[in-house]
Amino acid sequence: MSACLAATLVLVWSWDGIAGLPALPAICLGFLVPNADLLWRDVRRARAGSTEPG
Amino acid sequence: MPRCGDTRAAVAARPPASERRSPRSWSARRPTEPARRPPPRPSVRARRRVPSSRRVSGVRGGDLARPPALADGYEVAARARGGHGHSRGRALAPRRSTPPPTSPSSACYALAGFCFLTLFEELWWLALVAVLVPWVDVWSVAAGPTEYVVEEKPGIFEGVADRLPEPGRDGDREHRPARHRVLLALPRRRRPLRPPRAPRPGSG
Repeated sequence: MSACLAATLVLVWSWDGIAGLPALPAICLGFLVPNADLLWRDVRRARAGSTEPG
Repeated sequence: MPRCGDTRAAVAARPPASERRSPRSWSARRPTEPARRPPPRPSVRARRRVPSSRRVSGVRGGDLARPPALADGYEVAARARGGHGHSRGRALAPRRSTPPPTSPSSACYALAGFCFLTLFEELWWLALVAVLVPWVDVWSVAAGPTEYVVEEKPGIFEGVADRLPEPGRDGDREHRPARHRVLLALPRRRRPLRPPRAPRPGSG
């Protein structure tokens, strides 16, 4: 999350025509990417539970 | 039974000098009466039979009859920290003048925080927020309230940012708020830690 926020700041400083960028997308990306395996495991478990009869 | 004011009957009822004690102890109990001992403390097994809802205060029956919910929380907490049935003076001590470490407002804040935390016990709620929030932020920066404040009402940001000095700006001391100047001046008026040394006689 910190690295993504730092990357956003670097982009703002490097691009001349941009006055500012939203910071929350990078922070949320920093949360979703490390937890992708947990989310995917939960998705598979939910699919398996929904397809089971009864 | 001697009547009030009958001195002869009172002298006759008075015990002999060998059995007489100090007036205070003699008036408190008769010399032939055995010394009263405090009731024995119930065993651990007997105390375990007491229901847990009534074992909060853990002292005499008068306090046990009082519902724990109506009892003073600070007093109950003091007993729970180590007070038991025989520390009567401590258990029935009046309230301290210092406030308890937790206040009702902080307890309410903590309760609200825990209620809010229950929304995110499932990973899916947090993931949903993490998926939705970036789009809202992008819209806010591109054409929403953030863009409006930055373009149309920059004074809102300036009112907040005025408390911090802008990096690379010279001569901003005159533009700082009065309280900022006071905060900066406080360390300069602090008393020195040690008095200045006197010059040595040979150092000139």
